[in-house]
Amino acid sequence: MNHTDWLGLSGFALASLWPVLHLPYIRRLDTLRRLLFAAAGYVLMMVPLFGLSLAGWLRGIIGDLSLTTLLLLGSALYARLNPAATPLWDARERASLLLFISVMALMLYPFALGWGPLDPYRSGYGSIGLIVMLALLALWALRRGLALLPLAIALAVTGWSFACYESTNLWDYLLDAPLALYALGATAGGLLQQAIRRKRA
Amino acid sequence: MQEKSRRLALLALVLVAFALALFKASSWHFGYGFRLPEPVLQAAVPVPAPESKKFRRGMRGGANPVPSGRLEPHLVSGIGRTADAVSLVELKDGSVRAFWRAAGRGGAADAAIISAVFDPAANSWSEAQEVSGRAATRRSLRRQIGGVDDPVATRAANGALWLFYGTDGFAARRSSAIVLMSSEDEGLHWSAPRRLVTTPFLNFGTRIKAAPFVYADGTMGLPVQHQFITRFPEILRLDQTGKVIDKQRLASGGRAALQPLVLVRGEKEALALSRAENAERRVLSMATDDGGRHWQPAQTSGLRNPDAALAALALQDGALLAVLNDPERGRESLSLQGSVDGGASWRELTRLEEMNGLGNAGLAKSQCLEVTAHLLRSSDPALRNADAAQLSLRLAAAGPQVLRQGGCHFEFSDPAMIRTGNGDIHIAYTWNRTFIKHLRIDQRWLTQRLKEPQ
Repeated sequence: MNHTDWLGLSGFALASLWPVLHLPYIRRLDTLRRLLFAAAGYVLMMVPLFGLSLAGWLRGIIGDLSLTTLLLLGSALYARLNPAATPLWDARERASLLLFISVMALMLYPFALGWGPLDPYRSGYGSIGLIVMLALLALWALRRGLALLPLAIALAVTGWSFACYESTNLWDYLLDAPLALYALGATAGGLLQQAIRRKRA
Repeated sequence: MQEKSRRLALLALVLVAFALALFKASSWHFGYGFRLPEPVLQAAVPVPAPESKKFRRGMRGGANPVPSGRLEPHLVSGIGRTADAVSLVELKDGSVRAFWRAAGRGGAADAAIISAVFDPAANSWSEAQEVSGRAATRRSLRRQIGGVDDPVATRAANGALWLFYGTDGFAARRSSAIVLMSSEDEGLHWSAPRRLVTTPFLNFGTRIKAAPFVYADGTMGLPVQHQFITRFPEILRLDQTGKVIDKQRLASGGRAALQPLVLVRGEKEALALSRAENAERRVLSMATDDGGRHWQPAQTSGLRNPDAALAALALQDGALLAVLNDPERGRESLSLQGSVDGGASWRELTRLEEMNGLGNAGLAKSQCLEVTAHLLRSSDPALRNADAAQLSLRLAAAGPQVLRQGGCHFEFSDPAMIRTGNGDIHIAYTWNRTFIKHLRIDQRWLTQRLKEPQ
């Protein structure tokens, strides 16, 4: 198995573990047993059955998950496996990243799917302009005291540089459709909550 | 202090990440301009003239006989599975390898990519062999796929044969993607298929139909169609290892320009043709005169077409050829058309197939099968003098397709066309959704026919 397949399949194995770790029975287990359970679940998802693993079935429908999704999944699984530990990222960090993903998704998907003559997805093929824009954004976020957003951008850009996935397009390392839907939903929900709170105040 | 160290480490990570990315992006450049096809070098291999009077008439252009009009039909594909979506590529020894999609009763799920080789000296096709299928592709890609779709073969700049084909996802062809495999031994053995990622939304909806072309820097242009939510033509650009390094939209969504193909006319000039769903029932054309950097907006061309797949070719003398259906005759006829003015006007050079009018002629089933049998005999020298038993197998496969709409409907579709090193033109197409039919046209006849006054 080459590294692009391993990473692509691992994304779905990890994504499948996340809801399982929320089951009441699993939540009652201690950390070591949860870890063993997660490891067994990962192996189960990765082992081919009748020529194809369960992760491969999901991968055939959704495609590879972006590195940003893997970063968020990893953080969420860490929190599930170590409930007593301090969360890796606070609400502000997460909200900033999800806002960034939402804006990028709105910039990308409608136009890439044919709305208008411009195709922003094209800029993902080694456009210096996109790379510089992301660098400035990451530095600005660092200056604002954020860590998750610059880390996600740096991870995506590094993954693209080393061709971690079969895609050669930087956008595919930054975001994917399920993450975009989640980010748009979470950002819209957050803004709605803020608006309701202001109205009540 | 710990927070400051963490921030410094993150800053270092960001700087290193972007230094790497800029280094990669700066080495990732390509130019514009096209590589012209290789000139004709070999002497033309004599082609046996067909025995059918009908075909001789067709090739001689009706009332204007041309002395060396030649056409040798063959049915390429075997019996038992339907065949469609043929693609042709010339091998280094001058023979022609065809690829097509074959499907059994399971439809897309048991479809496979099949290949056979035409030997021009022996004037015969080899046995067909399976190149790839759903199970093999699924295993290599390590992901679920719904089936395999249209193959397109070409020769890469490094001399290897490349075979692109589509894979359907869970939403059938709307979710199709393209995979690529290569062969260093002219198609005897193939690498494992590799998936090209071409759209950001689940990699949905890119279909390939037409043969690629080569840019001056050795990179390859792959005309494709985006068909998820909206439909528009694009060109994917692949480097010499087959990685996607750029994509270019030819027309925005809503123009419904489908299945583009690119005709390279010069180092800077090319014409893209595309079937279209338009009221004028005309092919759309998009031109470039700066090596493909910019493409003009889609315009209605003089080439009539009922929104059906077409094949086209640019000859070295500037003439253009196209094989397509006629809008007034639907897919029951297929014609070879030519243009000597860069695609501004087109005229029919010969009618390759003509079965228009039988659909509503009220033929009985037995009469229709008789016509089909006659057509089969004239479509392959091996069937010309075949006994009833030999012919019945082919007829059993073709009959249900011809009779499927209750009348007697013939269909000739999905053409492919190449010019080989000796100048011959090879045309293949789907014959009644059942077989792949191959024709060979001598360039001397073609040159003469193109020079004739309208």
